Amino acid sequence: MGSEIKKTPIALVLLAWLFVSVPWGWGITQLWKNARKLFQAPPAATMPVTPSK
Amino acid sequence: MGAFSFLDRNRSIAQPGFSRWLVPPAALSIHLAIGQAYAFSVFKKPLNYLLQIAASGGGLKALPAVDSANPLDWKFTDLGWIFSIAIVFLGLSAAVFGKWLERAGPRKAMFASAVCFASGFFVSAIGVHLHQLWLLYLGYGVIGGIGLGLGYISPVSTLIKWFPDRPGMATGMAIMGFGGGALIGAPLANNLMAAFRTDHDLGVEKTFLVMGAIYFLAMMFGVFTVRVPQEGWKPEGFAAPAKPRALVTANNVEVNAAFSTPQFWLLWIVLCMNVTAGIGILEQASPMIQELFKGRITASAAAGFVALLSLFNMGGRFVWSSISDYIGRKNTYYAFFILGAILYYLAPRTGASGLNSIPLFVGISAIILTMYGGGFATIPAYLRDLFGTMEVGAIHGRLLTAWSVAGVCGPVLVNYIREYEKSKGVPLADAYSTVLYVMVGLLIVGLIANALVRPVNQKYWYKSAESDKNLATAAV
Repeated sequence: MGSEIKKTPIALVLLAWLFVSVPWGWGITQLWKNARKLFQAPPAATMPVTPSK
Repeated sequence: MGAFSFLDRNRSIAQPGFSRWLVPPAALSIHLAIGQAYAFSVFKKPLNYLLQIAASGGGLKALPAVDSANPLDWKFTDLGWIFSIAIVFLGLSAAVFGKWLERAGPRKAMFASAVCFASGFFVSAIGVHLHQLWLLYLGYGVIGGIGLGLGYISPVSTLIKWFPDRPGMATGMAIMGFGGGALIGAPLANNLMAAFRTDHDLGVEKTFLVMGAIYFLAMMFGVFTVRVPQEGWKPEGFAAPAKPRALVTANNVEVNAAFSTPQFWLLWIVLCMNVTAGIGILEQASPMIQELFKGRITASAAAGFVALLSLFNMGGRFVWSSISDYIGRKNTYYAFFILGAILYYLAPRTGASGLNSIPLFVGISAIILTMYGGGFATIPAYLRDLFGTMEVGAIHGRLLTAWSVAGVCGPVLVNYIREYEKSKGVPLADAYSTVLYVMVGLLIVGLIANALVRPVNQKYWYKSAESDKNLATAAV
């Protein structure tokens, strides 16, 4: 009866992964835009730091 | 119940030829949706301004800075309870419904999770419309929280059964989704609120309605895709190792029996300590980096730092749980606690008064956050090793109460120590050091608990009616 086994098409598996990875990838891109701010030169670095009272 | 019979466990048994690689995306669709909970804070500021924007006659173009002493509407502290209630109900519902889930199957549990999670948004939208905060507590907090708990544990035991060769990797993938959910939830909510915003309305109510609908549909993908393997199914070419690891059992322990084993409570402490320590960094990441490197890190760069930590928290879930398949769960937690304690101790020394290295501080924090995420993701496979696969979802559900406790105690502990140090006139940078040293102590407690974990005594093993009969025959 082995010939009756219907294997899941690879395309269906890929489609399922696409369904979750597209919004996920979008989220990661949005987050990375924020995270990049850490590596941008801080304007405060060139300014004198006033001691807090 | 005919219309819902497609949710029954026996209707979701996979036919021969079904690809197990369809199950992780099904699990991810649930976890990516419910992971939105971590992004709930994006609603706090708009909810704080509901009344002012409505009364402004369109004059309020930008939201002014928050003044918690003079709230414009609902107070930040009151709004904070929405998330806290949701996390408490996550733990409670996972503990209470875990056994039902094992009986009903993942499809029914995922469906119930989707209904609760979406309803939470809808009830909250009514709460905003009627301006009743208790409806937000009930909606997003209680009903949504139950959805979180059901959704969090629903795919775990199914994934473990589909991937007996890589249980850590499989559950890590799903739990990584929970970490990634906020990455989608936050920009989605911000974009929707921007789209629905008018001169008199910040668009929160409509955003709740649309997000409830979107998440319900996304979770339905998981409901219809998930399958449970047939009894005795094994992946092609898979054979259980001839010499299994010391802690990996081929037997099963029923959830109530597991609850009375020392191993359960040791793992409860392991998870609780790991999460509390991680919260120690997460809770104060932004002010801490600004204080340790005064004048060199802007508020915007600090926000970038927090975002970067989220990425490492998410990535650590997959990486560490996958590594645990090779080095074993116990060794993985040894790494979390030993390496973690060293890094927590070193972190304050990288500040301006010590090594003065921003990259070193960021690197240390990033590794710590991978271990925080890894702790969540590796625990289901640890439970499976000790208690077998039979009721691992239910056992995991009960263990999540450790998360609820850590979620409440962690921030309280961190804030209390910081405020206490401040009140004694200790400089802020040094107050952060004290917090991190306390976290080192918690990690040592976790390390001891992990070291005490031994295989479960066979008196706790589940004996089926069949095996009882065999034992009786053997005795005669």
